[in-house]
Amino acid sequence: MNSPLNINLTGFVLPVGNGAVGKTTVALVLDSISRHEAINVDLISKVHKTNNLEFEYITTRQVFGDTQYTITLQFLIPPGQKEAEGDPTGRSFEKVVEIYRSSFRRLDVVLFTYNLANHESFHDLAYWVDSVGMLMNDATHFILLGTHLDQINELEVTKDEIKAGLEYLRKEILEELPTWAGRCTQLEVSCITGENLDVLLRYLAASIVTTQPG
Amino acid sequence: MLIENAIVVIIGAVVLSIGLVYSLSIIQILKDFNLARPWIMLTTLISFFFIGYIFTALRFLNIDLLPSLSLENLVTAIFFFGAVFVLMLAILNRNLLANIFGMGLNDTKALKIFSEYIQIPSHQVVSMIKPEYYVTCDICHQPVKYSIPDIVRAHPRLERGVIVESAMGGVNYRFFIRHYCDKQYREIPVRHDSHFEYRSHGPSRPV
Repeated sequence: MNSPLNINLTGFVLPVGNGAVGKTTVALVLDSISRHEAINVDLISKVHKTNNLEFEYITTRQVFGDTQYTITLQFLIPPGQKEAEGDPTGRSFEKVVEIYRSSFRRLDVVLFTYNLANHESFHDLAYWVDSVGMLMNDATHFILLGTHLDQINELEVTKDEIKAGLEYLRKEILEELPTWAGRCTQLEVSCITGENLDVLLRYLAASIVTTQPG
Repeated sequence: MLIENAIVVIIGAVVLSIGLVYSLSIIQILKDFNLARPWIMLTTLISFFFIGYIFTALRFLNIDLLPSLSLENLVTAIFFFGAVFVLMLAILNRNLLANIFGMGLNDTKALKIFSEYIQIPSHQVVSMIKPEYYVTCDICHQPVKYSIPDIVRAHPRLERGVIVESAMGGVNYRFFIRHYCDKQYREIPVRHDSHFEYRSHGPSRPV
């Protein structure tokens, strides 16, 4: 009897977006999901503003085809403050990129994160795609990730807008990187109810597998 | 009698000088917004009247600074520039009140202005908009009724009442709805999508 092939991989994930959209929370909750644990709401309530580059490591086992993969997702979580906002209480995204440039050498997935209940955070992704385009490579995948899906009565971003936004991001990246051949998709999640987070985890894992050279 | 006339004119000059101080303070406020020019002209006229008052008062006291200038010529000039002053003041007040309370435009004209501003043909705008929208005021918690023509009427400078936001492959409109409550005029920022459907609103602010 053949034992299934097990491959260990590490991938780098960069969530970007305005402050308080849930970049850190998604990483923390994915950690719980990857361990098959219940979401710890107390932990979510203790998430604070990111003032520097923060790191989260998530290990997940996924089977694609007849191969089992043990994938470590290294989340590089930058602040959501823009340089132009001049927030003196922490480093801006631009400052963090300048300091930790070497950490962004290989990005496998970029999460363009916005709050579904805050239209401004969705609109501002136009700013974030400009800021992060230079950090991506030809194989980097991206996900247009909407958070706060549980706030069903306060959702401000429509499905049509998400669809148009995904196409806009794809075009912008192709303008910045004409040889870009990565994949992209949209996903809406809730860190409170856990809705679609297992899908996100699997998509991230699959992205890491497909971005591996060879 | 001439001395009494001189006293009355001097009192007038004092009142005018107080007006001059107020005009200068208005210029101070408006110069930061690049809107001071009409008030500089008004202040120049007030200064001219002030000189005229002093000149007249001295003439009543038999002190003649300019013998070649007759009292009749001076009164004629004061009458003329007084009329110019009143006209300028009326125009300024009309613009100010239109800014606060809105312009008297009919719906057709208002929609034409709106469609030109957002660069969408008028018939397309008409086919998408609703006759009335409602938003709840966060201060008085009452529903506030508004329409696109209402927004145009309330904002003679339309860029202050309608902001077109283009990003992420779509267009959104932010409207500022005028509403009187809590003894003051307030503006409620309301966001509409590309089909002019109401999407959300933010906290109101005093005008």
